[in-house]
Amino acid sequence: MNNKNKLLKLSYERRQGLVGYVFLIPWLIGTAVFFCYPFFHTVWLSFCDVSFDTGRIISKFSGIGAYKFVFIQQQFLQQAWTHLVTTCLHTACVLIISIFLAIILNQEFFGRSAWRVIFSLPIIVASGLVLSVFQKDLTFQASVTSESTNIFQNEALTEMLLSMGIGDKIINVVVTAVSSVVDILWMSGVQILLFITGLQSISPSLYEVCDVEGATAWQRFWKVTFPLLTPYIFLNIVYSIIDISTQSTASVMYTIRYYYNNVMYANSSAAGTGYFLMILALLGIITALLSKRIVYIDK
Amino acid sequence: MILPSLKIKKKNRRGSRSLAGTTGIFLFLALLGAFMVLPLLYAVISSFKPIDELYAYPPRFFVRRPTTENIKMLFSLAANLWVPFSRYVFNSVFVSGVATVGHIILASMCAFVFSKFNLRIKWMFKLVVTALLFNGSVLWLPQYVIMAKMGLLNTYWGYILPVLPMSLGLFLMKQFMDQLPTALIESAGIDGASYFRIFTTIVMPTVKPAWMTLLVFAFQNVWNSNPHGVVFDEQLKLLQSAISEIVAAGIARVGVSMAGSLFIMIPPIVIFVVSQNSVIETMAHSGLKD
Repeated sequence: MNNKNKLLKLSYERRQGLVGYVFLIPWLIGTAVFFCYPFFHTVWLSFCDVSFDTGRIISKFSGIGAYKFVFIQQQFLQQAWTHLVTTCLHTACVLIISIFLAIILNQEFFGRSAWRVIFSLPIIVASGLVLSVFQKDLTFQASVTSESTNIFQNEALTEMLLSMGIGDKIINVVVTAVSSVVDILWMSGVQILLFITGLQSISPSLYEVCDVEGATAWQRFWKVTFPLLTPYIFLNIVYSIIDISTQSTASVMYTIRYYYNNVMYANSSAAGTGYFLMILALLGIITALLSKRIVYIDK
Repeated sequence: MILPSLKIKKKNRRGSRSLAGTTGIFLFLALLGAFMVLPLLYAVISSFKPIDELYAYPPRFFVRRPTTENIKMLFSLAANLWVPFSRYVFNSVFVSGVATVGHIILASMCAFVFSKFNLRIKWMFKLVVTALLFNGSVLWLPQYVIMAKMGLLNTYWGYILPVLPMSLGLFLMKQFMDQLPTALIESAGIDGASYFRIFTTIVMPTVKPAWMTLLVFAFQNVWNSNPHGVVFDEQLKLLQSAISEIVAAGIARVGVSMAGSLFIMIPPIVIFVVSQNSVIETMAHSGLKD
């Protein structure tokens, strides 16, 4: 009996394995061609002297010179570190705001779908040509009307806080926070949408149980909604970190592009690879901290 | 007797919020929503502004003498292109459509395997996350080299193929499929369904909200991208590049560029509205019971 079971299990596993690989193959090939090869090529280039001949690239191994140049001489390390710290702060803000908005937008009230479209506008607008047109025009306006843009620099807010006798440091924090609310809202479109999808996937019967047992809204949130949202919180943390750390407007990305556009491929590759390793380390730490705390309903 | 009491209970659960609470939520949403809508509204209004109002100092938010000149100019500029404008539209729709659908199918298949199969190569999922964060700008050069070697330059495939194994979709789909009870899949397997059949008739319908959301991301991602250096043939270029060429002609075309950017935003918005409406529908009868 036992033996037979084992045999059955083996063939089942083998069958599963075969189908699994068939399902995976297209993606594996794609990743190998469009990610793995370019990635290793980039890493290789970062250790090389890169020059060009007609129709081909000549790369000669030259050690870690490019890394030394970029990270220490050009202070890319400091730049990258600063941006990663900003990334973490922004990720926290984005998470809080997007959970909050998703819960509101998930409730039933008048004009809900219209509100959803409004708060998802960043997804549709925040990339490509549309954004560059906005930015171009807005900076143009700013350069023409440098006086009128000062209204938005929170001088009124600063003065108000000063008159209340609050210290300089706190004022700085508050003012920065207010002016970055807009930035953060524009970063959280995807996250809001993911949280709404997550909230929709919580079974209504769990809420019915809460009602029957007489739980308060506060308990309902912390005992049902929040634990079942943890997979989406994790998903959104990873997404936000990657999204914010590789924003094309960040100075780090600008530096990498600068080297690339000026045909300094070794430097560009070194900066890119190093920065990539830093993000990877950050993600590793976060995954290690959080992976035990995610609640899956299946297990 | 039972029916009315049930109704009351449901009404209570949703309608327990006070009028003040509802007003508060509305005000809050309106305040935050203003930040979202104002730039867009500004673009809409600007595309109706005549040139002297666009450069007026101090700038006004609203238009005084609305004109359709910008939109007319966009169309006349578009009509005078060397390649017919409809060709760019076709290219963009074709490339975005094929790439989005292909990406969703590939990503879902892989996510299914990574989430529900016991394979030895499960560690490869870590590679996915890794691929997710390596930024495109560093990979351009090697990607160009490999695409040249494969003869993908100057073809639609040059646009489509690199999009298909994008890892964002796989990552998203896997997170959603992890939520799916394994029992559901096992029970279908016991009833004799093949894996392909489980995938098409059980997994995909159940995670419809997930791939409907992915549809929005993937489509806007491809639609808004303007890959340079892959395709040189003007016949095969995308709408984005056509409009940015029209726009690039100088600051005198600010109004035209506003009109163009609005024109480009229409398809993603339509896709978004359609997909999100169906997300709400599917959750109502997703067939999952705990």
